[in-house]
Amino acid sequence: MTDYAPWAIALGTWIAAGLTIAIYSFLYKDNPFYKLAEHIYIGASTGYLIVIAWYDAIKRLLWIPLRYPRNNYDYLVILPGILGILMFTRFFKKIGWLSRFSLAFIIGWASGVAAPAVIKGLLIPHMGSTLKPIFDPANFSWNPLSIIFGILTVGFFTALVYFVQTDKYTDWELGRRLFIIIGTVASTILFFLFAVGSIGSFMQAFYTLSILVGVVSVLFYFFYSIEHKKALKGVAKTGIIFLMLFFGSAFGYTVMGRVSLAIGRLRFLVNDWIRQSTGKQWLIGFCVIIVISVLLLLSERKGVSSEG
Amino acid sequence: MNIKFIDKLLKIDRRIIFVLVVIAIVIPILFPLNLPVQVTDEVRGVFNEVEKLPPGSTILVAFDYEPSTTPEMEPMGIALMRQCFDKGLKVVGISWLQQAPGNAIKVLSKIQGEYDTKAAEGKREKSLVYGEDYAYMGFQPGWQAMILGIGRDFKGTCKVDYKGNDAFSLPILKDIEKLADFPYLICLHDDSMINHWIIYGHEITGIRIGSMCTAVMAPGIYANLNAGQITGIVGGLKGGSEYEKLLKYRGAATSGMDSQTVIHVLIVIFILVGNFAYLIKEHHLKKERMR
Amino acid sequence: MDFFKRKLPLVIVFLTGVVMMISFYVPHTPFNQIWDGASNWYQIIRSFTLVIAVVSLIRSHYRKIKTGKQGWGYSGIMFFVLIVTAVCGIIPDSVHPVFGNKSGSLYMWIFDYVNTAAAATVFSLLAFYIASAAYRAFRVRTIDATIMLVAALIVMIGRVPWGEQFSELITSRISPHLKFLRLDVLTSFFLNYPTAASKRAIYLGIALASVSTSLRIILGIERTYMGGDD
Repeated sequence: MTDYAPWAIALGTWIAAGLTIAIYSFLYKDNPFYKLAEHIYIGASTGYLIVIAWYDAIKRLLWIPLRYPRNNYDYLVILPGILGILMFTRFFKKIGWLSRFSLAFIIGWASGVAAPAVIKGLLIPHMGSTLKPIFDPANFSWNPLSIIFGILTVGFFTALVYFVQTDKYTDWELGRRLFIIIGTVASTILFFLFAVGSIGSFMQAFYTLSILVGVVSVLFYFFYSIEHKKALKGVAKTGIIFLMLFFGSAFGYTVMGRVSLAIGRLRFLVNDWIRQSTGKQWLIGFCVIIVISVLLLLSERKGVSSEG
Repeated sequence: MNIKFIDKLLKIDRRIIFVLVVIAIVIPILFPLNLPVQVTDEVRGVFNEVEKLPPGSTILVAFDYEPSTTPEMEPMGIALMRQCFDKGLKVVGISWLQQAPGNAIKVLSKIQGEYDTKAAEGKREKSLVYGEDYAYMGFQPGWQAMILGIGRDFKGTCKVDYKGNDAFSLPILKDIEKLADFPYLICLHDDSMINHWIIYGHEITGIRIGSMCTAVMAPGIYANLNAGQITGIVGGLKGGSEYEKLLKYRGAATSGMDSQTVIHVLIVIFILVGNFAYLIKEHHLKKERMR
Repeated sequence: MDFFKRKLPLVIVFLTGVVMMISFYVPHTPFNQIWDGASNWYQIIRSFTLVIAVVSLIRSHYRKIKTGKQGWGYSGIMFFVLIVTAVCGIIPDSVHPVFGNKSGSLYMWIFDYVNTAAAATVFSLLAFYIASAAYRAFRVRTIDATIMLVAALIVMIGRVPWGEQFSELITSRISPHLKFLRLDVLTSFFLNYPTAASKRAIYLGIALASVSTSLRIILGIERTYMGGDD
């Protein structure tokens, strides 16, 4: 923007402000100004894509190697060039099948590369980060309290699973249910606290365990080959809780993201347009807006009456 | 509580809500609040990684955001460029999103203008020179193929820069043969390109990556941060404001946080009022049914 | 003819897929040369897909103008802007500095003041609709929705300066040990642990689905990319 003449900056600011207000007018209701702005945007972005496709794609990859080859192998680019041109045959019904060769190459290439790359780049690193030791063995100690709470943890957890699987859990009153769940959670926390000794190690163990429990329970929630009933229902419900925390965080950040764009546009309108425009610019702008409004409203009326 | 009032509250015209949103955004623009910003570890993860690079190092910056997210991404891009050039680092830009080159050229030309002015005022020894201090390779089609290609042969894959200069003739690329020759890659993205850079770039060549992204993308990348695949995340306008604080200046991102704060509080009020009215109405309906 | 229309593409997919998979693991000659060559071919063919998108758009608007459908005038304006932008960008700057795709050209001026302005505004409309939806639709009907709402409220307030200051003030007044209840600390916890865990599970699912879909495509089980019968 610093490379333009002052009059070009002023003109551009007014055009941008006009487009911004025309698009925001859609918040009131759909109208000709919005449609005009939308079509101008589509035209500009498509024209932009054409230029990018020419300079950065076709000219760089096809034209330059053929025109200024570094070696004889550069001439081979004519073959993918032909395959690329074959893609346009999809617009013609009779010879549309020729585009399948180009698509076949693209899809074969992408599938062949994706399979090993995704295993190496996504599956193994993320599984490795999940399956980490919950605590450092050097910090772990079997003392009487940790042994007692360890046994209690195993006992409570086994009892919980047993009563859920045998359908006795659903017949219990709230007090009993709370007792067994709080017992399981409390004994687990106290076991870790007494076993690892320090709050820091305990928190590290808690974080690692929360990742492990989260990943396993969410994966299980999406696993539909087994019915989610009894004890497995509890696992799926844990997955839902983690997912709800994820969606809540995502919602909060989405609000932040979208609002940032609105802030940017309104800052532009206030600081760059309203505050920077001179009286002369306002006069010219006002006249242009009136002319455009009259033309748009007349064409809309003509369109409506011809349809009627 | 009068149930008719609750009903009216629940059926309020949305255009009134739109007007309140505009007011909440515009008032802090007209009357700045100058709110302080606290820096998080995720942002430090990117900042410190750039800070520890010795002067003369060349970093790769992937400009992969569309014009639609410019208000969020441009302040981050400008802050990053200022940090790099003030430290004496060199920057090579690249894009694999077709809408991105315009944004990259905009940021780089803004920074060029800024440093031209600094050099003219004597605040800097010399301005930035294209081809020596920075270069932009333009849009590289092919997504994964581009990353894999530059992973093995950077100049051979790019061939020319966005101005049409031969990549082999650019002084900045003299010592760069492949992706791993860059000590750090920062991806400015508004979609899931970071995953491709991680899978085809970091995991295959070992290049260290930092993410500068929109707020919409940020929550999804924490898993990559946790796995050690990226060094840090600068997410959204908030992340940009934190980066500006670390660089000790108040830019567009920090100024935008005033409006961001007010609008967030407004939306929280909307949610609480909406649910409060809903719960009152439900309670009233329950009582009616029991009668 | 059926061999060329249906079988040969499947053979191409199979051969390309298998060769690329082998080349991924074997970096030596000739596989490294095949890898580089195939990747270059992929880039070239992909670049034509950009043009196809443009041609499809032009066709649909051209039909609208030809048939005189309502709103054809807008399509005409779209074509005008498209031609101006494309011509200004494609003509090299050696003809005149106003042309070309460099900074300061007419093409970049259109990008700065039309593309960027309109694109950012269209996406920012969502901010208003989110605010409206937050008031009219975001309801605590179930426990799951309540958890989501609480997490959203904590993140929205915890990530802005007022939220950070307010929670620091409250927690420091009660007890310094309550630092973990500060909204910014809770936000950081939500993002680094439950969010990361959920997203990781989704990544693992995506990874497994990608691998299985890739294998299905290579083996010819999945053929939807070929389109209908002809």
